Amino acid sequence: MKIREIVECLNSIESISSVGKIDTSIKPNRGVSSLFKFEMVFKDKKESFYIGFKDNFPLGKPIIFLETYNQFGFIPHIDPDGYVCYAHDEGLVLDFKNPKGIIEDSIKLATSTLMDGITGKNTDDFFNEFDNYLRANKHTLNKLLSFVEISEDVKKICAYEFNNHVLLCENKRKLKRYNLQGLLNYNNEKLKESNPFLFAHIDLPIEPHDFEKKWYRNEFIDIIESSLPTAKKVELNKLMLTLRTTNILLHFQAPNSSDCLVGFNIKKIGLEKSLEAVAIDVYYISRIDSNYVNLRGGGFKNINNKKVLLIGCGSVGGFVAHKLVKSGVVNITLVDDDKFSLDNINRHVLGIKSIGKIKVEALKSFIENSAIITNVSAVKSKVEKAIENRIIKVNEYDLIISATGNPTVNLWLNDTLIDNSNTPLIITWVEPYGIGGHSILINNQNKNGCYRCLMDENTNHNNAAFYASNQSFIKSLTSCSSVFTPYGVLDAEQSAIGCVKLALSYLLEKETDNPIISWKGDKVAFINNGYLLSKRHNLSDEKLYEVRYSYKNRRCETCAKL
Amino acid sequence: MNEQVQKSFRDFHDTIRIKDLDREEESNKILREKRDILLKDIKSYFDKKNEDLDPVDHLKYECFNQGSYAMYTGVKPLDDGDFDIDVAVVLNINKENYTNPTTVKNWIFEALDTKVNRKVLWKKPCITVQYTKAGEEKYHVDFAIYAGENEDEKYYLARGKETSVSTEKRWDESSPKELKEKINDKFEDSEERKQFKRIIKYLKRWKEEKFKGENSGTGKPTGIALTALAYSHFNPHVKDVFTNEIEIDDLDALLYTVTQIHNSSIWSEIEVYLPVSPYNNLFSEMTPKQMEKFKEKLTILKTKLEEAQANIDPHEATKLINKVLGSDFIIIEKEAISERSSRPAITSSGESA
Repeated sequence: MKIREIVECLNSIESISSVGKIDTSIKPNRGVSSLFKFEMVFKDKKESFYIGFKDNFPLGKPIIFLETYNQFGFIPHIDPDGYVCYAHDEGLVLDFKNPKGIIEDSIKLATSTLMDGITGKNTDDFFNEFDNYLRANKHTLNKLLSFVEISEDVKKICAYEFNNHVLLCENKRKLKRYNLQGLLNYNNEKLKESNPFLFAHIDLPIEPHDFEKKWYRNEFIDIIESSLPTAKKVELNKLMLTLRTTNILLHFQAPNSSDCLVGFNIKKIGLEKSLEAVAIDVYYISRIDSNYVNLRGGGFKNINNKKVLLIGCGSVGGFVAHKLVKSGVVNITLVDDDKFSLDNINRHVLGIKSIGKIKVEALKSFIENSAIITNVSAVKSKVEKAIENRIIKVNEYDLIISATGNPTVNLWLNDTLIDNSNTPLIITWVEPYGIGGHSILINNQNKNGCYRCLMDENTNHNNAAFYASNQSFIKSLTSCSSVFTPYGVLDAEQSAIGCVKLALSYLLEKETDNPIISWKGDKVAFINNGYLLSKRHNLSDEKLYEVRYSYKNRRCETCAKL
Repeated sequence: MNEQVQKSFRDFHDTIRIKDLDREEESNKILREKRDILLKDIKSYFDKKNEDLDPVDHLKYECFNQGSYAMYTGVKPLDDGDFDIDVAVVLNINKENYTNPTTVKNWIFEALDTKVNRKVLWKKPCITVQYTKAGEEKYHVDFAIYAGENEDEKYYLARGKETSVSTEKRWDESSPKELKEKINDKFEDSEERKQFKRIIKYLKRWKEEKFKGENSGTGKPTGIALTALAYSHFNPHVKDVFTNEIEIDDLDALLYTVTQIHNSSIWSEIEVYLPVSPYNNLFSEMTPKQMEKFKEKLTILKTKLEEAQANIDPHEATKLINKVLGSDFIIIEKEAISERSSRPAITSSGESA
């Protein structure tokens, strides 16, 4: 929008006056390309405000500033440069056809944010925004990276210096489980250990400090006095004395339940108050611990200790591995005896650089770089051989996933696990020409229902199939040596999604029975190639979900004989 | 579902059902011919009567099958009992012109009572022709006579015997055609419809078995009451829900229906209504004590069917069903239980990953 038009808009708004364009250098840090000062009656008094516009206005909201951040006292949602955070861009719809309306509404929202602050209505926000205030305080030090696992106990946290950072973690072994190479370009250099920190969880949130105010030692002691139970106080004090450290890491929950972490150097050992005012160091903490990162990414808590065996690293298996680590599953063993070839490239998560490599090894290195923490083992072998030779011990896993797409191996796994193990198994596969795919969970707490139940007793036709029986779908582009079943990357990924969702619902203990989860795709290509659909393909998605347990065969050779 | 158990149900049904006279089945030929002679006699009677009447006053009528026979829910009687064919005769008369309905019933009596060896009887709701000749299937034909041209456009049934007291000689509202249509058209899908009819027949045979030798008034429900119960509680079980393929399971369907009836409110309210006008309560004659007896027997039926369903051995399952549905339900001999047929060792699959 042209500046002339913005000026017109501003001049036509009745509630504001004395609009004047001024130099953007007054408020330099928000990327505004035009800035105006205006006056407006606020709390019965004429006050000055600034409004700035970025180039993309009205596709982006206007930015409103106060002269100084404490023009109306130290209140929430005001940054040191006077920026009024009245709304987040994420989740806003702007009616760009009505720029004047956008300006008016933004002024209204900004003033109501100020009013809420002045009247104390949004005091909780103050505490909720602790992290931001901490970072914006001009005395805060900003070099600590935390890999610390949040817990209730008072504990020692080691500090390692690396490349101008200090890495905080319970111990070196734990730290090295993280992908430090990817995160910090760390290549096994020696880590210099510095003075440790002491971690403590306190019960009450800490009130943020004004942007310009220093922290003092007695303020810290007050926090400890009021929010740390005596037993833990004693423990903390004792640890301070033994470890000769004044570094403390405090954890608390803000009123909105978000986790806050703050570091202090309280300069003097012990928790007694000082007679004189002692300024202390305060550290902003960048959190990289897996639970934090996981939750930020929509992942899940408490699955980083689960062990998953993934059999088959083809199209579906590749996506399954990738989505597992992205969801927070750390411990994965990959089994496959194949090499990655050019034929696979367009329906596999791996890229050109992996061609000719052993699939398990290439996939291992790919997924290790997909998350901050992974523990991947690669076994190049056929699964039946690896199990027979006890290279793989099925009982060591929380869950086994078979993405081999080989019904013979799947039936063998099904029968073997049901007979000999309590480890649940998910079998996942795709069907030709994008008509669908399935994932079945078996050997869960409930023992009836298995992959063999799906097989027709007289024909071994899979009753879950969206294709009618007695058809073959194998295609060959060149010769017998390179046959394949026609399906695409989206089909593989769709089955992988179903499979990982099922895996998570098992690992998070939401599913105790043995469902089959099917997805149904478009039938046009399938039919155009002259194939016949099963009646099951006529079922709606809702119905398919509803009947997810209805496949169980009461006379199953495998699961009914138990 | 066990295919062999389902086959037993199919055989059972073939044994107990009354076959349709109007389909070309040799076994029904005699019955069909007998009925047609009766219909012919009625026709000649009215033809003759009309000769003496002014053409505008000519009596016209329409005949059609009604009752269980017309709804294909008829079950062969046990032992010596006979079974009935119900025929509706709807006349083009207004009931207001015939305050005494037996006058109208008498026409049919006269029309049929023409042969020495034909036994024609007055019954309250109809005129009956009874066949008892040795060597033939015992059965009777009931002729229900209706006034069909009334001001309210409803049908009225002529009730009473010539000897009845005047309160029993009356015209009762009735919807013979609607009832037939309602039962026959409840399910559009032919497999579902056929199963619905079979379930009604199984219930009726169960009733005959379990109330053997007892009359109504002992807790024995009428056939139409069971039909009305099935009408509101039956749900088809003709498809495998997982594969969506046809898979007819009469045991599941029967158990479902019985369970629904068992869980319904009929026991406290003692009410089951005819699903068409006049919507009368078909349990109006039942006492709480009789209902208790009915429920007792129904509970046994439910339990046995549940046990049969839970038993994967077809011999044991059919033995349990035989206990409640009677000896026409054949128990599968142990020797006859089919072994799993050997499947091909190599088959093709569309699975991939």
